[in-house]
Formats: sequence, C-alpha cells, structure tokens
Amino acid sequence: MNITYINIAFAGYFLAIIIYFVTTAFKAQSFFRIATIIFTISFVSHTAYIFERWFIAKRPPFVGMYESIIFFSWAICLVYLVMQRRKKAKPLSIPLSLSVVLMLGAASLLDRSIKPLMPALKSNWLVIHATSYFIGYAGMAISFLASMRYLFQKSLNSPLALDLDCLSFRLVTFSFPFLTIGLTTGSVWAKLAWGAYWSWDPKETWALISWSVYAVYLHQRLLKNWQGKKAAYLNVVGFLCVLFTFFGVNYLFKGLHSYL
Amino acid sequence: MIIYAISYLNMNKFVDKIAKWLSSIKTAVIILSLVILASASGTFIPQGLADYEYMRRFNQPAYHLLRFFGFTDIYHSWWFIVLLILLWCSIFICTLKRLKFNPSTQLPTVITHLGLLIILAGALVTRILGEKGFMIIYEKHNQDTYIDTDNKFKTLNFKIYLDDFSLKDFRSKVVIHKQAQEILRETIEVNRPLSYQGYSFYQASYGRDNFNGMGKYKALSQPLKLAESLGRRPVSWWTGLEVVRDPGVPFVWCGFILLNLGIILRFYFRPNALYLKRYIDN
Repeated sequence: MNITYINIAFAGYFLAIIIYFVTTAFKAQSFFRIATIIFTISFVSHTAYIFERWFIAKRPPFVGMYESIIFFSWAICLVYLVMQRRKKAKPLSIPLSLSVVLMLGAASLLDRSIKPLMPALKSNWLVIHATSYFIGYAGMAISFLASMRYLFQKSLNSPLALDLDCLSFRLVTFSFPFLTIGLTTGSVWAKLAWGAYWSWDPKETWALISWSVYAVYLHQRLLKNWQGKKAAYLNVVGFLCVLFTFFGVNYLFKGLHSYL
Repeated sequence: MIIYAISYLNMNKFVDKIAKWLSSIKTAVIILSLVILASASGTFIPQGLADYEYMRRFNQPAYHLLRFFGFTDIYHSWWFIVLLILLWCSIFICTLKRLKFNPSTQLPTVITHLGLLIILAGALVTRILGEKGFMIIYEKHNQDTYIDTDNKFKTLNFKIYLDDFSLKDFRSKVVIHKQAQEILRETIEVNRPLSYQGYSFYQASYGRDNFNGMGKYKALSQPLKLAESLGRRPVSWWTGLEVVRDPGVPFVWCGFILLNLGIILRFYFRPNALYLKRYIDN
C-alpha cells in the first residue's frame, strides 16, 4: 500500500525536532509555534495514513507489530497535541517528537503487509478495547517521559522540575481511566470470544499488573503524599510494566493475544 | 449501618487488631504488591503442565518444591486465594472508613472500590460454581454430553442437534431439543455464543471424521472411547463447542460498570484542581 502519508509525517516530525532544538538552543520562542504547526500537519498526515490503511484492510488497523507502533505513536501525538492546548507541555516537545520519530523509523523496518484478522477478533469490541488502550498507554508514555526528564534535572526544586512532576501525575490521572476501560472491555470481549472473562493469559496478567502498579502509584500519591523522586521512580516502573505488557509478552510467551 | 459495622468490629480485641491492620492503606498496598509479584511469577513459571513436562524443565527437588508451594498452579493455590480474600477485606474496611469520615465527597472513590469488591466476589462465585467443558456434535446428530476440564463426562438436560456446519463462516446451525420438543433454533458464530439455561456454547473448533483430542481435555484423546460415547459417523463434519456455565459473570459485569463509572467520575469530573493547587504552591 501507498506510504506517502506516513513518509510525510515522518519528515514533518523530524523537521519539528530540528526546530524545537533551534528554539531551545537559541531561546527563540517564536520558532516554537512554527514547530507546533509542522508537528500538527505531520499528525494530520499520520492520521490520513491510518484511515487509508483502515479503509484498504477493511478492518481496524491495530493488528501486528507494524500497525501497533504506527497507531501507538499516533496516539502519543494526539494526547500531546490535546495536552498542549491547555497545559505547558513545552519541556516534553523534544523527547516526545524524538520518540515518535524513532518509533516510526523502527516501524519502517518491519513487515508492513496487511494481514487478515482471525475470526475470533472480528468484533466492535476490538475498536473500543484497542483504542482505549492505545490512548491510555500513550498518556502513560508521555507521563514516563515527564518523569524521566524530572529525574534528569539538576535541581529537583526548580519550577521546571515541579512542573514536570505535576505533569507526570496529571497524565497518569488522565490515562488510568483509559487503562481501566481497556482492561474491562478486553475481559468482556474475551468472554464473548473464548467463553471466559479471565484466564490468566500472560497478556491479561501483565495488563492487570500494569494497572495495579498505577493503582498503587495513585494511592501513594493521593493518600501518602508521594511526590518527586519516589513517585517518579514508581511511575517509571509502571511504564516498564506497560512496555513489557505491550511488547515483551508477545516475544517471551505464547498466549491467546498473539496478534499483539 | 456503617457505624454498627465498625462498632461490631470493635467488639473483639483480636478482630479489632486485624481490622486495624487491614484498615491502613499501607497494608492494602503491601497485599496488592504481593498479588502483583505472585501474578508476575505465574507468567514466568509454566502453569498447569503435566508432571513429565516439569521434570523435563526443572530438576526433581526444584519441581517438588514448586509444586508444594503451589507455584505450578499459582492462580488457584490456597495462598493466592487467601491473598485475594485479604485484599478484599482490606478494600472493604478502607472503604467503610472513608464513608465514616466524609461520605458525600468520597462517592466516586466508594463506587470504584465497591466495583472492585463485586468483581472479586464474582470471581469467587465463578471459581466455586463455574463449569467449563467441551462438546463435539456431528452434523445431523444430537448431543447432550460434554467433557469438563477434570475429564469427566457430564450430561445436560437438553439435547443439541447440529443441523449444518459452515466452514466458510465458521458457524454452526443448531437446534435445542427437550423431550423431543424443539425449543430453540440458533446459529452459533465466533463472538456470538448460544446461551440457554445458564449454559453458553462457544464456537471453538471443527473437523471432519475422527476426532483426535484437544489440549486440556485429555479424555477426548482416546478416539475409540470417544467414538463410542459420541456415536461417531464416518465422513461427516463435526463442530467443537466450548461449554461454559458461569454464575459469576453478572457480578463481574456489574462490578466493571461501577469500576469504570467510579474511576471516570474520580478523575474526570471531580475537580482535582484543589489538590493540585495546594501541591504546586508547596
């Protein structure tokens, strides 16, 4: 299939990184707007690619590693753009666009042929389950970037550090409901497709583990006043669990969720 | 009622101590962390394999140790279930405590945790009362027997007749009979099970001619016995249906709705601004 749209998006995100660097290096704040406009145009092209693939494949484009990475990076850009309108997400612009470019670069090395969907998966639940998970994981990914940037700050009491700490927490509260919707709709779907709402499949188990780690994070943060370093480390652990659920499980274990 | 419940807990010193221990968030987090670790180890240690498979992978003392502590079937081991019950009690007492202090502002939190309690209770119902098995029906034949996961034959009080199996769409047209009377005519498809009298039948597999067994249903791997018990006919399609009876499901669905509702209310509708403002000011 035609890859023009995704190439435009890739080039655009790359250009945005360069302009973000210029903005930071020369403290030329007016450039930031230009970079954001280019980023947005790339996102539109990225979106067009996903819809084109959806149309050509005649099924939602969340099947296999290639489509998952394309959609995951799309969801990250979506959450970032939404967030940027309201919150000051500037300190994340470089690490975020860099991650997106790396993901798209990695995806371009993968097999991009369109694979058919196995009968057990043909359901509307796929769209709800996968979309909530991709958006939830995207939010958690950005939160992870914020926590990592926070941990690499020289002073953990600077206004920037406090902003990052706060941002990572806000993103967890934004993403956690999506993770919950994804987990529960996945369970309902498993009941419909395989007859059991829970079978301790490695994918399910690790999804539950990730969810539980974030539940611990929220309780510690909201009730035990965890902030700063401790919270950031726990958030990093949470996202490592997400990465393991998303990629690790498929490479290490055999399970029902073999299509990713 | 809540005050009564709490004062009841105060009546006995021992119970009081346990309740106090369970009422702290710290305890809840410790129990949840243990559940997380146990769940994770269950993905690395293969679960529910045959003895010889474990012997091949581990040395004998290691295998016996794993087996003794339930690590070969963690999710059904007594200590894992005890952990889940402790988690349930901890959530229950913490939620009661929340209600005591400020019921109106705690509503989303209470809904969320009530959802979790109902899900866990539903899981217990599934564990105790649930049944699961597998049945094969040859085309133009009746069937009322299935094999459960313990390899026991079980009989339904109705018969299922396979009118037609379509390979192309992977679906079975079936008719349910009870005492020679037609009750229901339905098509079973993937993602569209047939439900009748608390039983659900899922399209699981299909084949032609003899049936050679399937994974966990070991009794089915004896073709002769199977052919006798199921009345095999040569050269005909059969459909494989997963048979499930699970009275825990309504609880779990109800819990899911409350859980999602509570979490959405908590993080999207209740203003976090106050907390965050205080936090940023620090």
